[in-house]
Amino acid sequence: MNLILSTLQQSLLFLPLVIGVYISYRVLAVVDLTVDGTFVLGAAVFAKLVIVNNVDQYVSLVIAVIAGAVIGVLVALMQKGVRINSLLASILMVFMLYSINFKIMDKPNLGFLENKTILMNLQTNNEYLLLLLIVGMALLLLMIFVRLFGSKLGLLLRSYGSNVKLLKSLGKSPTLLLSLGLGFSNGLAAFCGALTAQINGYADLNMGLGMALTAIGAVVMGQHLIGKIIPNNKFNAVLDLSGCVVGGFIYFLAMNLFIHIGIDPVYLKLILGLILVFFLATANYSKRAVGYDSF
Amino acid sequence: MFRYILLFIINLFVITSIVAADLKPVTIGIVVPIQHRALDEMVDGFKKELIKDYPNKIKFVVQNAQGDINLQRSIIQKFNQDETKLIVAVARPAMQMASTMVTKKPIISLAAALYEEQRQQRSIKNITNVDDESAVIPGINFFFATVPDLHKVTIVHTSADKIMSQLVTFKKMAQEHRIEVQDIMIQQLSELYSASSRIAEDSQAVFILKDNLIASGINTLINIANNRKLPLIASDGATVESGAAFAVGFKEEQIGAEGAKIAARVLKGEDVSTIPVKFLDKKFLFINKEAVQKQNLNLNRIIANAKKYKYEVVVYGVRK
Amino acid sequence: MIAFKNVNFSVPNREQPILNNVSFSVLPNDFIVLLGSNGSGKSTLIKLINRSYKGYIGEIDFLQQPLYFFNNRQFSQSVVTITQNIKDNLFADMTIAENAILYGLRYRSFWEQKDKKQILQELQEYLAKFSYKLSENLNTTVNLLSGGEQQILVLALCLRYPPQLLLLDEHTSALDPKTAEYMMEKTYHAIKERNITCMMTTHNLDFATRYGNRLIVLKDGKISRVFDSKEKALVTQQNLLEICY
Repeated sequence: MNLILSTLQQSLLFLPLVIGVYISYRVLAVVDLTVDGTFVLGAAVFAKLVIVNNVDQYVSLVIAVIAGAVIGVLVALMQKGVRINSLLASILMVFMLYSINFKIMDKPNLGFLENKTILMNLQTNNEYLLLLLIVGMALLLLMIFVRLFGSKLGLLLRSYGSNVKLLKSLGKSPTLLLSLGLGFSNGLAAFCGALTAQINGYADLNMGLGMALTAIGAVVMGQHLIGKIIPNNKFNAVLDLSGCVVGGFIYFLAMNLFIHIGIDPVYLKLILGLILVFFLATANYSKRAVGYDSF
Repeated sequence: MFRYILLFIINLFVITSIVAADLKPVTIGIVVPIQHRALDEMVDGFKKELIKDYPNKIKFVVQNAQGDINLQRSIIQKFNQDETKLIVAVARPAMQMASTMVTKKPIISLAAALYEEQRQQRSIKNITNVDDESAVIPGINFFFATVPDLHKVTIVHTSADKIMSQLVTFKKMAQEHRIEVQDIMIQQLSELYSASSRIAEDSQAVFILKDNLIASGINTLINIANNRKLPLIASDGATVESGAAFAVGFKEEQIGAEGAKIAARVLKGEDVSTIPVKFLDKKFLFINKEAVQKQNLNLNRIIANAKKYKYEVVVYGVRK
Repeated sequence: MIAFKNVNFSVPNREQPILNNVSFSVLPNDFIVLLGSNGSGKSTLIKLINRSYKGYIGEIDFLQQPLYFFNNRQFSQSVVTITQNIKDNLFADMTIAENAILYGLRYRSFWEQKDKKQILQELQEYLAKFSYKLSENLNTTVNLLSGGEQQILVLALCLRYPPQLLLLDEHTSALDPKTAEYMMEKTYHAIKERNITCMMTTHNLDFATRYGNRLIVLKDGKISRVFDSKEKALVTQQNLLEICY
């Protein structure tokens, strides 16, 4: 498989996380770094159930996603119920998840020795089929979320990010919406973590470090690029979600290119960071659409 | 006449291509998971030894993932797809990922806690390991034998996989020697300072395993050890050089070198799955004279014991 | 509809209470104009009524019940506030149609028409009564509209499912004179059509004389003058200038 195909595989595998962060960062306009922890939680729960408890891999995957969603809801409650600032609440949760994840795995690292899972199997035996499966998963995810954002629920979630106070005065419950949104977001992160653990061959306590930031970078880059190519000031789910795909792809493409050329990976983070600074500086990151007064 | 010239030209081509194929360098891909001096020394040892053992030209590609798993995956992916003939995975994280992703190229892992039974369980066996854990039990024994009258010791460690299983061994051995163990675990470097202030008043020595995270913050422990005149015993040479009193272990270059010997065999045609996990046997006793003095230990006693166990002694002197 | 009985309200930072022993009533279908200099307590009074501010001393009754008798859902349907911060009442980065849908979500009558086309058509007809431009541009993002158009939109949205009480807190202050006039006209017709009780604060003395059936003047947290309908009909801008400021 060549450079493009591996990049495709990596970035589409990462897509659930990017969509999750898109929901919290762009749709709800909330800074939620919890995904660093829920990513690992998904991997940990999945690995523990499949390796140690011998649970069916599909059931384990569902349980892992639910675990992530529950954490998302808890973070929402921390923000609304106990009135903790969103950034703080998410960092606190990541902190707590470190212990929780350790307790779940009982060791800092759980390895899949045998090819117990479908992704691992394909990786060993048929890489093209694996890519196809991942592409299929990504397309399914995209279709689900395009539907979601076109629905009444999608409208409500977007309105949360637009004007929470107004939403409250219209009689809606911000707590409920935030819980739903962060539930989706962290459930997706857990899903991504479980899949990644299969591809890597292990679940590791520290595998989530920096994921949130990488995902935010991908979201911002993607939205910005799509916005330049197809300018649009109304909300368009297809465009925004394409932005997620594009952003992730560009990130991994840059990474793989640099390695291919032979640039010392030490500089990789610096360069990627600078690119992100550029995008964040020129992007409108407070509210989504572009209007007269948002420069 | 013309035919002879044609034959000559064809022969020239054939010979040149054979020679060229021979001259074309063999690429070895080395993936290192994090930035750490010990791992760098392993890589150096590997490179030096392989150049000696393998006559053809070798191109080394060393890439460090800087602790980022996405980066690590990209690196291994590249080695898997390009002209790399053999992949060297340094330490456990790299080994785990490489063994999952790479099925058609040989992998040699260094210091990665891959045991023979695990290797046999796999359906695809393209990997072997140079093990560096066989110094742990002797090291603990040496510690108990050398520091006199031990009733209570403290062990400071992280939650890394290898460490946790070595911890169990340590506790068991301490119990056999009727020594009480104070267990201090940290998860992040920032906890080291408060951890070191929790060392019990009546603890007689502090022990650390071959723990990368602790090693990177060792100065904190060294300060406490020197101030309290408490012996600080480590499990690797670099930590002793920094200021621990002594340690029984291997030289990192050695681990790399043994890996290189296996690599040479694989490059010459041997199947890596038939090569068993290599256990190092030559142990070293690293001593830091200044630390021994500050931490109230008897230098002669340590050296005498080392001679008894036949460890080669490496002395680090006074640091300026 | 509303009864204030000896209401006092202070904040920790200020020695003087913001509202000092304020008592008055509002009857159904009243259109009360509230005047006073800055800091006289007008906005605070409005915010106490719409439950933005809590912690007053005294009694405030709404529909003959204590103000806090109603739960959030009921209350938000009964009392609507329009302020001069136009963006507060709109989802600025969403379209007019989306704003309308969000405003209508909690009303069963809205959801009875499941057909999207029908919903949009009804919306278009409704908005046309307020502003032609709004009804023609249902899919424009709100923050591309001018301030005046936005405020008209707010008015239209707030009154579509008429509340019992409409509170206007200097809602024309940010608009240019022509738009303000247009806004006032539309407001007046809308509330008369739907029999909505209204309380309006303003600095615009012209509006104060032309609109409303009762006038209350606040000074330093106390009610200094009350004009009932007859008196109000006779008062001029000049009088008001002297009385209030």
